[in-house]
Amino acid sequence: MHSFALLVLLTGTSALDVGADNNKARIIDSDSDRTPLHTVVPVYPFKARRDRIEGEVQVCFDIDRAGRTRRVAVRRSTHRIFERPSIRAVKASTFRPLDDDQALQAIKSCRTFVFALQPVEDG
Amino acid sequence: MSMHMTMLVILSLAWAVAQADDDVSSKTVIGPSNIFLYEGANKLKAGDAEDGVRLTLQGLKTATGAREEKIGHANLCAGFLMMSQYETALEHCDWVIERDPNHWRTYNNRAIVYMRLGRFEESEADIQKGQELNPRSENLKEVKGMYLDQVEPVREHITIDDRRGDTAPKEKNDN
Repeated sequence: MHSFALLVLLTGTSALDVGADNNKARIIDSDSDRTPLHTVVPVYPFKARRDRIEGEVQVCFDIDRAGRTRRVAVRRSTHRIFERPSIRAVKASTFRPLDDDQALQAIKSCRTFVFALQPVEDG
Repeated sequence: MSMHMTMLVILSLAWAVAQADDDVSSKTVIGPSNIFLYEGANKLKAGDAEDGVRLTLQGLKTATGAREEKIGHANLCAGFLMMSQYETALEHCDWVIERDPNHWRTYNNRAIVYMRLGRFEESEADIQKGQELNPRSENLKEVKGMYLDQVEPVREHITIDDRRGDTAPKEKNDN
């Protein structure tokens, strides 16, 4: 019965804050020059979960001085079903703003989302 | 039964289609041929399984022809499934499939019945048969998802990796 309820709940479209449900997500540290402030985890698409589809999406974007993401676009993906939630998650994420004496880098940042389904062990 | 499960049960609705003649001057409206089957289907569709089954049983008594009988039994399968009376539901599903082996909606419903009875192999076979008959059915995909959640449960895991951008391609090795 739990899984039936889960199926319904997962139809939500909003991204989850990683802090709210961090047992479902893992964040690998960034080595870019901008520090993530608020990282939003995409929702696993309902139909992808239902049909047992896994995949990977790389989204590239600019970060403005205030730490907001700009010009968000998919660079590559293994399945279109994951693209929209990935874009939404990046758009909702923020980075630490630059100090006045810091120069804005004219290079794109990229974030890769890996959507995986792991077997649940009994017991 | 969960609301989600109810939504996955498919009814062979005995719709009374109000058909209008193409000729504007003489419109003929055709009503339901079996009002009990029709009302029973409406009740089941609204989630009222008890009234739906009662009316459908009544409709079945006055059913004329194989088509109405098939609709009646298919809807009884759905209704008893909604009432969690799985063995009874199974009898009605079997009745339909014996007479119409291509009735994909009943394979959909019987797959859920089998799942509820813990007969997973038969459930899988019905899902497969249903999908052969109607590969595009979203209902059957959902039932298959439900089946997989029962036999091979999974949990979602999303990894966010900022290391693999074009501008920062160097991979960290934590090991």
